[in-house]
Amino acid sequence: MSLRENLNVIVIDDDYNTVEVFTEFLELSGVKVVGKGYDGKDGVHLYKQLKPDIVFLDVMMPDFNGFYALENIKKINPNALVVMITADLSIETEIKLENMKATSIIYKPFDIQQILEIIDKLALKAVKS
Amino acid sequence: MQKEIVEDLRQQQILLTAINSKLKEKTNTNSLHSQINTNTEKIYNHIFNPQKPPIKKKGILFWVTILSIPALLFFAITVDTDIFAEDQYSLTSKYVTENLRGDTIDTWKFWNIIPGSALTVNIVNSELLDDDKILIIKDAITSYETILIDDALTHKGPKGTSSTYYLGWTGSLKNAAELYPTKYPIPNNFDIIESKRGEGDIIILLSKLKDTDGYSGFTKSTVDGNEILKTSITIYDVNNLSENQLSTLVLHEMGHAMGLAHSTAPEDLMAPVITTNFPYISECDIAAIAALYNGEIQGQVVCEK
Repeated sequence: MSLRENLNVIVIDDDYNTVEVFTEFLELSGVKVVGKGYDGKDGVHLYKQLKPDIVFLDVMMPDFNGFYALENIKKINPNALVVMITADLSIETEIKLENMKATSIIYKPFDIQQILEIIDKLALKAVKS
Repeated sequence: MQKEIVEDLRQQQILLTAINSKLKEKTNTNSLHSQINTNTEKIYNHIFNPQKPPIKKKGILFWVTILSIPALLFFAITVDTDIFAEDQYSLTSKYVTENLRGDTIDTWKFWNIIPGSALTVNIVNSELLDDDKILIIKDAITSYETILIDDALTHKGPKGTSSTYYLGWTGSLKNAAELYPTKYPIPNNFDIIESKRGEGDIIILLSKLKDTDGYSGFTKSTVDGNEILKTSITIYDVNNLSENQLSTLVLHEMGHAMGLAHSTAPEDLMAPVITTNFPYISECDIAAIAALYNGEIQGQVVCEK
């Protein structure tokens, strides 16, 4: 059994189809998606309830965005593994996310191999912690 | 935001390509699985393409005619039965209710709304259907229309007696709310939106894909405690559904979305396999809703009439 198969993750994105397709992909790759949400508030609520190993979090969402979720998840668990996914390439966003201790930043559209490598690295981290 | 939408679409394309190749890998390594899928598709096509002529049966009929008259008579009866069955609706549906941890739970739950407030229904991928069919979906949710059907036709009673059926959930739920005092308010207002985003209390996802298990509709509700938080309905293979089939599926899946389980009566709208010629919201569906929102039962529809 690979380390991936021990992982519980949640996926948060305001685009319903993206959540569904990404979830399908993760599950086919052996990762268990235990929760799905559609805004930052969902993300915080699901994190509190489910304590997943990794959070895949979209940055740009209406009302409660990814910054809101990241900030509040880090308040619950400063060591939470939160992978931020965004189409915003601005340096300001990158610096802001780094300052907020995002675990990783992935730019849309991301490469499949890239996401799998990140998952494998974080799986090791999750096992060690 | 526009850029985000474009990137989301590109992302979905990449992910779908990856999913496709992963599924192909799986299929190649499991020929039995592939065989099962092929067979499921054949059964599914049989259900959804009833207009296709039964070519094999015609061939058999030819030989049977030559061989013997008794055999011909026997075969003719069989063919008649098949044709009759094909005239009816034959749609299958499944539903699941999960808590926030993703565990499947047996008990059925209800919406706990502020009295008078509306549930938002989001039709996702509405561009897949023309305006007439979208209107059919909306009518199944918002219509107040009723019809009176003779009980003899539905095998519910003798000729001359009749029952009222609703053609939309708003009318039936308003009726339930007026007729029955309940502990929790029965939702009977719906705001319908068409958005690609995940907003809304009830999401109706229209899909071009065929379900590999042959289901036409699927409803999944997420609950917290006794309360439904969000419901997702998937209508599969929408482009190949007739107007009647689409209306029937939306009525049935919306029944699950409101908290109903499957019916014990095979001729009811909420039967797990919908074969009725009268797929409308029945009095027993309304009574089940009232009981559910009164905290009495777990949402199963039991039709006594």
